[in-house]
Amino acid sequence: MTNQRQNNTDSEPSAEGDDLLASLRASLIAAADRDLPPQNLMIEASSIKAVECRPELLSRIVDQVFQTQSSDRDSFYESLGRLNHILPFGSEGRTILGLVWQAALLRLPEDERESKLEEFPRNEDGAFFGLLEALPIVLRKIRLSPARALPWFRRIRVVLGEDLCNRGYWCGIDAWTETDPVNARDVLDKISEHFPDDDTLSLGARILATLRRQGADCHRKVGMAEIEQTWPTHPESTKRLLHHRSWVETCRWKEISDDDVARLLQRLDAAGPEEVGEGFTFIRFLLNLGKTPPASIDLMIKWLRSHVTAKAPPMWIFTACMAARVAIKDGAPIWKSEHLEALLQLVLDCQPIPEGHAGTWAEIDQLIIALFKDSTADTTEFLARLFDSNPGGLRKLFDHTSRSRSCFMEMTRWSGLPKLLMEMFSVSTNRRQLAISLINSGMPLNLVQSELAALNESRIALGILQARLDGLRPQAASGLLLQLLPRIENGSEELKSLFAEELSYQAKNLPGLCLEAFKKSEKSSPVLKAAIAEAESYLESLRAASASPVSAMCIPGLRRARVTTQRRRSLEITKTTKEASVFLQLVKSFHIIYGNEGFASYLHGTLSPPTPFQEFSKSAEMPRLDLMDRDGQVLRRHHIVLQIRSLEKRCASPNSNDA
Amino acid sequence: MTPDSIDNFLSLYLRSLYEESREVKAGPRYGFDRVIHQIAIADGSTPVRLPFFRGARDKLPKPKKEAEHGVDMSFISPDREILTVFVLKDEALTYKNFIGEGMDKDLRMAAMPDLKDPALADIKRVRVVLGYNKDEDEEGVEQFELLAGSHQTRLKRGIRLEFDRWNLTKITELAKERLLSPSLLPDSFYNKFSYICAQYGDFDATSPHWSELLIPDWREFLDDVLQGPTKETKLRLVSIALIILSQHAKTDAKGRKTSGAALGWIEIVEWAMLALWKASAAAPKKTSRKIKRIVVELWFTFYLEELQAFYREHAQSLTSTHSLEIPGEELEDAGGSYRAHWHLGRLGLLSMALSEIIQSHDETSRQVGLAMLHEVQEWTVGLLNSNPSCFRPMLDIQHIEQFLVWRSLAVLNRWEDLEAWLHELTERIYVRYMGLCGITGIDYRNSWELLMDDLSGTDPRQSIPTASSYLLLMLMELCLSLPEGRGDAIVKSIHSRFVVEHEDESKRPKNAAGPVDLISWSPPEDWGDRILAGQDDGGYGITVALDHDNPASSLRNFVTKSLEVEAGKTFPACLPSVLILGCLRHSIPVPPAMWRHLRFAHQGEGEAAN
Repeated sequence: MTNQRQNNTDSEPSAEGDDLLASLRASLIAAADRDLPPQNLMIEASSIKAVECRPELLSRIVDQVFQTQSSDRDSFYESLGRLNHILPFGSEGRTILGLVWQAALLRLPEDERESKLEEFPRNEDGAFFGLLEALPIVLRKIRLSPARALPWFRRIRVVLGEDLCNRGYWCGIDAWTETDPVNARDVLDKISEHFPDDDTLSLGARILATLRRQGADCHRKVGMAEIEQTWPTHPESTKRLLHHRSWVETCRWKEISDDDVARLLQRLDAAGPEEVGEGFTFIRFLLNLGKTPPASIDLMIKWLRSHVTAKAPPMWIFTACMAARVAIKDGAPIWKSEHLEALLQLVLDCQPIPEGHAGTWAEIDQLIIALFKDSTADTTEFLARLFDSNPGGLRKLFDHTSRSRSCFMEMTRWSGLPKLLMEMFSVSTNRRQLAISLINSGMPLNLVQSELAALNESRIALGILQARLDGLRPQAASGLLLQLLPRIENGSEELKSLFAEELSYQAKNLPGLCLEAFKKSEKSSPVLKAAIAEAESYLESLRAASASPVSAMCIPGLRRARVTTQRRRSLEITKTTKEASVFLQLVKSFHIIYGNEGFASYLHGTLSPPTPFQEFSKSAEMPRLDLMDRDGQVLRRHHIVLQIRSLEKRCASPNSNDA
Repeated sequence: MTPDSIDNFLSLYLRSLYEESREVKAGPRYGFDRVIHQIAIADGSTPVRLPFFRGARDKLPKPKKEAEHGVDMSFISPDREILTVFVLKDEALTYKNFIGEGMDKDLRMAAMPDLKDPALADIKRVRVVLGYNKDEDEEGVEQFELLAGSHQTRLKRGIRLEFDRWNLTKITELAKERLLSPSLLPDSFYNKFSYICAQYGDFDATSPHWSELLIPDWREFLDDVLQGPTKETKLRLVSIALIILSQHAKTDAKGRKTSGAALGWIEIVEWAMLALWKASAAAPKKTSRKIKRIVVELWFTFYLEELQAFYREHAQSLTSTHSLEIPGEELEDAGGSYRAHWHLGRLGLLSMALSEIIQSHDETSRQVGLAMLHEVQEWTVGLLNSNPSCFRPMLDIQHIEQFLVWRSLAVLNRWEDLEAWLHELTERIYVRYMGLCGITGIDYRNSWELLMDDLSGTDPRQSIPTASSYLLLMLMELCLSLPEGRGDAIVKSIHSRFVVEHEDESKRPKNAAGPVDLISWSPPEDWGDRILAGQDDGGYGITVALDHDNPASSLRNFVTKSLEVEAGKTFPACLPSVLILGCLRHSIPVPPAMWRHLRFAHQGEGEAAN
């Protein structure tokens, strides 16, 4: 039993509090006597109120906590840690812990109290993070001299490291600043007089933001007006930085006006790169809060565009992409239509973003999804330009195996997709590459026949050659060629010849997928029939050749080398599979050595019945010709590039109507 | 091999044998007494008298020193009723020999057999057979018939007496019918050759067992047969061994020859040919012309005709697109290269041998030879067009096959084709050196085992050495043969792409190999003999640094200087095609003289061909 409900909690707080004391005592004794995990107490709000209102009750709890020791060697913080273990998670437990910690410190003489506080960041028994949560309550009554406060907070920050459980630290700073604003101002001045590290700068910015939040009295006491007036343009960069960053903190609790944003960004315009970085942090925070008015977003986008380049630090680029995403996703349609070009340009200016910057790409992913919902022409244009500047990154974005499927799935439903895929016949290399890249990523291929019919032959040839150069996914190759067939039938002999060559190549290269698809096709085209006949004759000759003695020779060392290669590849596959599979990482895997029908297991004294093995396999057809003649493929690609260049020139010529 | 040619070689072998087998001071003498003995044994007859003591394992029998009374050997038939008495002579049956060589006397003595032996108690008939392994004339036969007709026909106990004669044709027929097995060979080779036949019928052609067990045994057998002074009998014996071996090819469950058997047979013949040519080079002056004629005959019949028949039968398969590539298999870049170069080598060799025939025959043979040469060349071009791995040398030693491609095209003045071939070959090699296709450069260690080992490792580019090349220098020299200096541009391209260090390394692809050193070779004086004997290359290597601005001119200068230095060395008397076979089989580089010499010779040859 941890507590008993009382109906008259308000009228009889004493009973409530006594009950809590009794429960605490029992739990502490149990936790000290038995080496068992403690059972959390249930604490109600009324109990907390009782503890706050009745100093003698709090004093008895403190006695209890520090008397019930499992060993004589228990330290101050070990006792508090034990208390923390039996308290529930959440604000109730945190409050009781803070009150007990605070009361225990207040009992001590001042010098001993300070030394106990000094011990806190050195606390290594695992209770640090639990106690940190209660720090704001402690600092509401404990005074810290400016000389001790700064190094103390910094030590806590060091112990915190990169841990995200830092709420107690920041709220502790707030609580201490609110309690002792004058000393806090002193600490702020100390920070501003040096070139602090980033953590100390953040500490100062937090103090300044907390002071800004206080009332007029406090502002008078600490000279807030002077800070606000002089620090933004102060000759000392530390002061300027502190001021800029304090606005990042301020926007957490204050509604920032468009004027505030304009003023801040204007000031940062003339500043050095360090302060500009503060601007990015400010914008990121503001956007994360989700309350930014469109006018401010407009300002931010303009500011970002003037500061972002491809060489900017990753966090700046992330901020720019995030801003564009927020603006496109959440902006009003009218506003968006006016600013879309600028927003998209902002993202393009950041390219090429490395493929490994997953967070930034996630923003672009969301931005593109938002674009799919709104427009077609701008999206096509944007994607083509994005592909120009970063083909690898965009390709990976649409590769559903490497990132989330969301962008891929949205695109498959996008009404502008067929038009975008028609870009494979564009005069622009990048647009052709983008379209082929999308086809290869598995986008549904449905070419617009009416547009195909209207396209001139040079552009059709460009599309065919580009597909040949970039290589088509086996599943897409037959589909594309069959969809092109009606247009080719009406084309010139030159175009037919080029197409027939490609048909024949793919039929031989992928007999399982392409040749079979061609055979199943209901189209009775002479070009198709000829390609099928040629491929079948080729395969028949190969069958005859493989049965003849011409290739029936053993090659010295080849058999052993194949075994070695296969073993190495198998090990690599096993390793990669294990790395890629969360399931395999969590579950222990066994290699069954003998018995090929199934397996049973003996665990915890139980022998399970045998389970038959289940086989999972996936096969894919490899492009034969591409693998058989790898050196030849490089030369082939070189010739295709020359052909493409010549066609592009023809299309670009002013006398040509191919453009 | 046709039945007629088998008869011919069998007959020539039997004709070359002595009367009796024995060891003499000059070495072993092989007699046809062993053949007669084995024919009788094959009939199920039991020997009654043999003129020799059977020797120990792998030894020739020892002749008995006792009075023969005309009887060389006698056998009793399985039903114990016929006694066959052989009188053997390694002479022609002529009137002169019938008297002079004691045929008459021996036959008369043989016609009075001692029949007291209890084992001959059931004899009802005695056959006296005159066996001779040379020709006969009418008078000789007449004398034999006279003797047979005038002699009594009954012996004691009413036993009938008959005379018969086995001439070369009869013995050949009988040997072919009953003795096409290791038994036909002299006693001393019976065991070893039986084992070789068993291996040949058991191992997959060109498999590791084949290469590690059968081929060494076969080469050792050839050395044993041909050791000592080169004589016709020994050469004929090799031909008979080949004929017998061909009857033992590995077959599948349905009794058909396995697909690898044909290639295996070619390898077996190649080793035999090299051994024969080596023996011919060592023949005493007195008999060298005769010996060389026999070796040339065997070279054409057993090797070139067989090779041509093989390609005629399989040309369609060979020249169908990608016939030598096995898609989806690991390390097929190297595998395909091995297969393609194997065929390029044999076709090139055939073409080379045919062009040698053309040079030395009358007009009719010349025309036939030319037609055959064109046919072989079409196969070569077909192979080049259909299999990209022909352009993928993996080892530097594969310059031999590339040289043969050049030679077979150059000999018919196909300069445009040659230019295209050189261009594509160098382009493809360049793509590999630049690391653009995942295939490594040309390994100069010349070992397939090492190459395969490294290709199966994690980083072949690091482990396979490619920084020196004899092949590239050869290609550059071959470029100089193109008319009107058309090859100069290719020489320059090879030099700037492979040899010259790039000023800006950052412009080179990431996986590109470093610059290549051009290496030439000056073979030793006796390089012809060394090639046939399979001795290591000898001589000295030459590092070649060409002028960056004009590599073609610089290369011409190098060739001229090298020819001056090499001028004192005599070109081996052996057929060049045989030397190339030696290079192929022993992995010995082709001496530069082969193409430098041909570069000037082929012009006339090509004109003649046209």
